Amino acid sequence: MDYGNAKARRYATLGLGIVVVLMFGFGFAIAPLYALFCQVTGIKAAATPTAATAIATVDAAAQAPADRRVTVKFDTNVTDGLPWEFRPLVRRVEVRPGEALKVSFSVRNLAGQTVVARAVANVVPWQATAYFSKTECFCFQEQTLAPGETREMAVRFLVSRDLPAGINSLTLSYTFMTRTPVSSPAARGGPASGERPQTAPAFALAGSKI
Amino acid sequence: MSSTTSTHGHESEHHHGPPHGWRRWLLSTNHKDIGTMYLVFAFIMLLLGGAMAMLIRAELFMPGIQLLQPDFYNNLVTNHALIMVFGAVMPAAAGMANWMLPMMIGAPDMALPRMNNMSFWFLVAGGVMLVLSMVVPFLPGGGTPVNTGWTLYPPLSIQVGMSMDFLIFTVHLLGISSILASINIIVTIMNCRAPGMTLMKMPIFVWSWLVTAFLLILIMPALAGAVTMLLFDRHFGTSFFNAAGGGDPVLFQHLFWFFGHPEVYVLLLPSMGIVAQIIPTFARKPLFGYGSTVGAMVTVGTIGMLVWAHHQYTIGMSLAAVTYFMIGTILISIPVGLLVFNFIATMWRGAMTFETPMLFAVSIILLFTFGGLTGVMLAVIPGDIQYHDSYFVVAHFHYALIPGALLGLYAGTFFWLPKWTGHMYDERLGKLFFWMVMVGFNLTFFPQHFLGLAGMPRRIVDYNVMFTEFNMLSTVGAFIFGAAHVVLLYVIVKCVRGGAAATDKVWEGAEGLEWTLPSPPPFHSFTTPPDVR
Repeated sequence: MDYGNAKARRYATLGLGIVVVLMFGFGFAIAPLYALFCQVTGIKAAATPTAATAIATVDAAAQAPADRRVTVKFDTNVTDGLPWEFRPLVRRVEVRPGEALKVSFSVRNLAGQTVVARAVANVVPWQATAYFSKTECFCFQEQTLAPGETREMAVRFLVSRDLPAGINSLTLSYTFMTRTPVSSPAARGGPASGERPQTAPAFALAGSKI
Repeated sequence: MSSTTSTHGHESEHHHGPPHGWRRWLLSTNHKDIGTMYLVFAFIMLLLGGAMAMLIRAELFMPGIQLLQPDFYNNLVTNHALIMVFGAVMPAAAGMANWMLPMMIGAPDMALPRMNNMSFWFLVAGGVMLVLSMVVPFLPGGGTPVNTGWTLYPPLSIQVGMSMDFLIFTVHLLGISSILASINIIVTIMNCRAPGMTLMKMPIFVWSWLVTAFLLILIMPALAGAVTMLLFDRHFGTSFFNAAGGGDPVLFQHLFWFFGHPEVYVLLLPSMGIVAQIIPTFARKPLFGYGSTVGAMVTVGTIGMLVWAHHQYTIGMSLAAVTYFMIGTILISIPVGLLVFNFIATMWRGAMTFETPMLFAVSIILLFTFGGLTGVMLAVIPGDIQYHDSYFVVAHFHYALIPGALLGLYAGTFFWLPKWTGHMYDERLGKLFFWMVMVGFNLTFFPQHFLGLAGMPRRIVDYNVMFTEFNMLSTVGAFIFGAAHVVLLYVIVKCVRGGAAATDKVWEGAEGLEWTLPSPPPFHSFTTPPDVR
């Protein structure tokens, strides 16, 4: 039953085992490696916030406001499980590209405990992202709200004069996300984190309603 | 087995054939017994995954919600994919590797027999966990089912209930299983070939598994890492994929498809290896272009590792990045085309006969090429943004994976069943199975191309009334396809239980070491190394 070279087999097994361990680590290293790759080669990932800000700020200093008008709408969201009430004080504004404007948002913590959350911004349509810059934003820092606290927060933004002619309306959308889970369901007035209430059995007979 | 561990008990075991009773299977270190267990496990999983597909198609027979609640429907879609990929196709291919590799390279057994046993039982543990992930949501406090689709994208996969944790550990177990099996296969191929069997004399099936095993040890750890991060995000407050903590859900997509795209070739290559064994046998000619076939397989594996992000064109990558991934993806059609042309050139002017394995092999060339063609359509960015997440994608990957992987395994089953059992299978029933599969498969998936192009989205329980007719056709086809497997089960059971005795060579045109052994082969394949010309 002895065949092949036992030593060679052991080395091959060990070598392949090392490859497996390295590849497991590669999964964790992939994001830093990609950042390094972009830095070395000078590649910019698509629509990075820094790149977009840089374009629009330079543009703002050099140019006077354009004649056309663009509608900017505001959209607010909180993620599932975050007991915050979040709304814009104005739903929409009309701006002239090149003109800076300040708008306010209101947020209230409904939970019985202090909650830390951070807003992530998003511009729709994505083609407008590079022409939209925020010079002041509550999304630049984490927001900490005491139980029941209400806060008004400002955003100063600017739409670049170079905004393509086809785009006459864009939406600035914010989503508040939390990293600290809100512990008890009672505190946040909803079902336990990550579980939606099951109102109906998963498997039902024909004709049943959902 | 090394001399330090071979006790007297082991010696007597080797001289008196297989041990009896449950110990033979539970403690097995024999490549044929483990291969058989792999194949039985894969067949059970195939029937389970197939039953789920039948439920999905029954629900989609008409618009509206008839049978299934949306969450459970999405759970079925998820687990159908996972069971078919990890439970049916990969174990079946591994079972055939276990059975055939030692016989093809002239070895008595696999290089690491105990690891072989361990990788099989890890697989069973993983299979049980996978099924449990479906059961848990039905228990009190079980939470929501895994309704993310097999890609498990966060943030949804972070919000799912406890069933997701079962699924994460399933992936860990299955990953360990296939990594161990792959290491075993590579070590066997590298170290246990008979004297004179150089790498470039190995049968193509052995080559296909060598490439597959290397792919597996490169990609499975990356997937294990990705689901580990998912687990940490769910329970330990990390933010790998959570934008609030500075993470990015797109990272998961990259990690998943870094595994997921080569996985397609993991499923495909062993079956292409089987086709490369079958076509020369029934064309009674040596394989055309042995060297280029080997080169094409290695090239497919290599480029396949580097083009994963073509599954994510819509995430907003830079133009340079998507262009790279598009060109890389289209380039893969060159080595794959080379395989197909080599197969056709092998048949050219051959003295062909069309027994069931050959019928499957020829159908694979035709149907897989069609799946490859829609693949090139999907590789092109502007097209893909249009087809993304539509039924066109569903039709495409079923045309790629059913002929490319599953039909190849059916071909291999019929090709080697006489060698494994010592009996010929029922050729008439084999052909009946083949034609039922052809009618059922094409009727199921061909109309889905039109549904996708007309805008029907995938992974949704309900659909617009305008899609009704093609969906009805598709469901009828699916039930024919499903019913065919009753015939398959009957043919296999009948063949195992008896039938005309198979000769050593089985097929007139068969070439290779495995056909020099008796049918069925002895418990230890080659106790003395055979002569290789």
